[in-house]
Amino acid sequence: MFISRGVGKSFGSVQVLRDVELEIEPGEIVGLVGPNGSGKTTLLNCLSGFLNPDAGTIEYDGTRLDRLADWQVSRMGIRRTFQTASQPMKMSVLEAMLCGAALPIGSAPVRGLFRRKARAAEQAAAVGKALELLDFLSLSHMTEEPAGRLSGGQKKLLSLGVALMTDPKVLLLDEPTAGVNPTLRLTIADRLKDINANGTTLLVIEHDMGFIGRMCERVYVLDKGSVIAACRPDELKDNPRVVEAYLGAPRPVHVATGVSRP
Amino acid sequence: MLDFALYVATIAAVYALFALSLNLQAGVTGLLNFGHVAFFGVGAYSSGIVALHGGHWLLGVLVGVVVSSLLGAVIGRLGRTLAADYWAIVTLAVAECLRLVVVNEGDLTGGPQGISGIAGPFSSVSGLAGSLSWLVLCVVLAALAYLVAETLTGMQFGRVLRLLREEPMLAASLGHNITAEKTRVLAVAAPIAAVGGSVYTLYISYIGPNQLLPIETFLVFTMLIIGGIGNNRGAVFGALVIQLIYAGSRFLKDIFPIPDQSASSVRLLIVGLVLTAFLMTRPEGLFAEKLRRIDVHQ
Amino acid sequence: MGDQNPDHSRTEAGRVLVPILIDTLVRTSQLSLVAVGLSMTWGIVRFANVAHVQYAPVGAYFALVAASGLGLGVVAGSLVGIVAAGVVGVLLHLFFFRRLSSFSSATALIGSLALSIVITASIQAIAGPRPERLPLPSAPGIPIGDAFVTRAQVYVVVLTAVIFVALFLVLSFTNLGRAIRCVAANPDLASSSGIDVRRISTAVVFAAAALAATGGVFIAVDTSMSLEMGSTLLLAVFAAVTMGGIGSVGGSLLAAAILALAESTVLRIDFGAVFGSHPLLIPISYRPAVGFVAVILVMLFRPQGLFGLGGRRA
Repeated sequence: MFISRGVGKSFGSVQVLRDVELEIEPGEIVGLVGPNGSGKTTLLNCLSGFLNPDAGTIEYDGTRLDRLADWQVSRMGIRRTFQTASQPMKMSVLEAMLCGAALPIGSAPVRGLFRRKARAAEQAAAVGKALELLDFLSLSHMTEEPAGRLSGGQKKLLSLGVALMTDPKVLLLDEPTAGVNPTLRLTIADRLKDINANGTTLLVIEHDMGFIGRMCERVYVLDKGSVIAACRPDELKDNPRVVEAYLGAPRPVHVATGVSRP
Repeated sequence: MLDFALYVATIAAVYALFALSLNLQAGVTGLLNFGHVAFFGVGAYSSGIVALHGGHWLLGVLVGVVVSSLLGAVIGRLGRTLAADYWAIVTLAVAECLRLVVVNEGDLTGGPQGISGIAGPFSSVSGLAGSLSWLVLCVVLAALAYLVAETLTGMQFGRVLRLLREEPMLAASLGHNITAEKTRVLAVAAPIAAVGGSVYTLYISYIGPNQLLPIETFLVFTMLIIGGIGNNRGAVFGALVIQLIYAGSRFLKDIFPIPDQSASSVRLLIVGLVLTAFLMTRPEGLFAEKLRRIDVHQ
Repeated sequence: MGDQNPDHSRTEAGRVLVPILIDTLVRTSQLSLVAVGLSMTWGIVRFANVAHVQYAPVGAYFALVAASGLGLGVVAGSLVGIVAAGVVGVLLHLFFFRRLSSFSSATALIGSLALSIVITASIQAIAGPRPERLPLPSAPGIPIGDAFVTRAQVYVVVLTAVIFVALFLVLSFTNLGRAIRCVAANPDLASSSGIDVRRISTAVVFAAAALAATGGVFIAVDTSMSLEMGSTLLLAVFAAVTMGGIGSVGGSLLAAAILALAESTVLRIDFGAVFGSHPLLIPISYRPAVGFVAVILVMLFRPQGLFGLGGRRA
């Protein structure tokens, strides 16, 4: 159970988030939509510990997250991806995948140096999992390529794979299909559904309303830093505030038609 | 002549220790430590001061390892709040503070004259046998350091360091504590340089504050850039090349009429120009960092 | 110490204060001239140019060559030296740093370190390791109380004041000045609003190198020039720039004054008297530590500058 209460965030004199209330049940797929500059990414940054909110609380299963650092939130099983999925140039896809794994022996410089066998065993298990995930994401043929040289869509898939290496309980996804070709977009949507079917809760920022409609049970609409609607995706087009936020005028078109960027 | 060749090889091996240590920081993690010479200095002066008080040379090495590791951790921790270039300047300032203390606290460090007559492990062995023993010791140490550095770079520890060098945000999102990683890599890398400092001091049985000048750090950076920053093999190779340039420039004055007093500056000039040329035309060095293949047992 | 008569303690105070004042003013002039250029260019080149301080010895040695070697005299020779150092700065910017920055800022940072060494080694190879003096006629010092101030020191302080006033006027009231401030604050925005960023950058780099060279000449006029001039300035200058706020001319001047005052007073304070124990003075040889410690403290605790006049973009 992911709960945010009264979350606010300002940069200097600009208030980016205002009194955001959010509740996500375990196993849900929740969409987060809103016009450009409405504060979606800032909210995701707050939820993932990359920013600490100025006001309000964020809780996950009874633990306060709003004062934790980014890496601490990640270690609680809440992982995120980024709008621009950049990946290291000097690392192979497989190595990038291993970065997402928790390898306690290999991470400890002294212990890792002396316990060769245990380290190798630990890594072999992670490699097995990484190969499975790469197969699942249709990236098997790229295993030895430099991660930073993949196409934009492949990088999005890879960052999904890297995040999945520890079987997170919650995934916060920042535009997982933006800039991705239509075929690959369908693949990503299918994979996200599979991931969710395995018990991972998803919060997805998306501009593509068709994608939101197919994926999500519920959707939050953010405008100028405030939640203006929380409803089923098919109710969006009948909500005058949502339509106004998107189009600036009360004309209920486009919103439900799947046009990617209004 | 043989003596000279042995000397050159021994010093090259010691330099390899400095280069491998800096490569873990600057090459693998992307931390430009402009005060790297401080770690060398801590090792060197630990050995010198312990020797001054009649302690066993091994104790000096040990003290150097522990103190440098602590200093490394402290400097690494400063990386929490500092941007990369600020951190570089601060490390330089820390190293300069250390040098100033060494110059001024004569009772402890021998002041500007330094400490001489330091007894090392092979002090009783004279002639060729002594030189050879030193060479073997230093080469073994360099090989060991290479093995340690290469293992650290390849395993998950180094993989995370390489990730936070290139994509720090991604590393944080995967649960890696960037400050802690920086602190750890400095605590691990510093002792490698400190051992180099100790061995160097015991070998030439002298240490003085002029060996702590920022120029020494610059030399080690040159080794990395020539060899290929981020590549441990490159670091070792770079150390060898720089040592050869240094040794070779001794014969330069037999060919060209260079006055004695400018010999050292001509040497530095050559090294500086080589580095500039590499930065301009081949910044990835002779052995560019390669992708690491992972054994897939299937 | 309470039983001294008031008359004696007043002359005592004068004996301490006047030299401190002279010391601080001269040192402020030298530091601020080198610092202000670094402060102005940092926003444009976007890496910590360690080699900037080397324009001071470059300018001083060029001035020496022009003054004695070419027989131009100290004034004309210094001007030639300063302009020559500015040209060197521009050439390095165009053909060296721009290329390295295009690889990465880390490469540029290492490159500036390399360049410092090349400059120092070149000077040593050509001019030799001994300190040199500009061919100034020896003039009697002007007595102020018990202390003396040299004519050179008066010129240094007055000229620095003139330079800073001129700099301030140019930056505040001319189109060029507005363009410079715009480029330093945000090169991308400046470029998109029709400013010729390359031309402005080149002008700023020239001015920065020339100002640093002026600082170098002033140091040479006051005492002497040496190889170590650049490296001994380095950390104090970086402390002044950070403290003053990157990009802030006034901030650099103010920060340089604070540092100079600290350098000349800290070593004269009897910490023993402060804590009520035996006399405890920090030895004079620790003078450089003021800059070293200042740079560490400022970067750690006030990286945005002491006065909030400028700032470092992330």
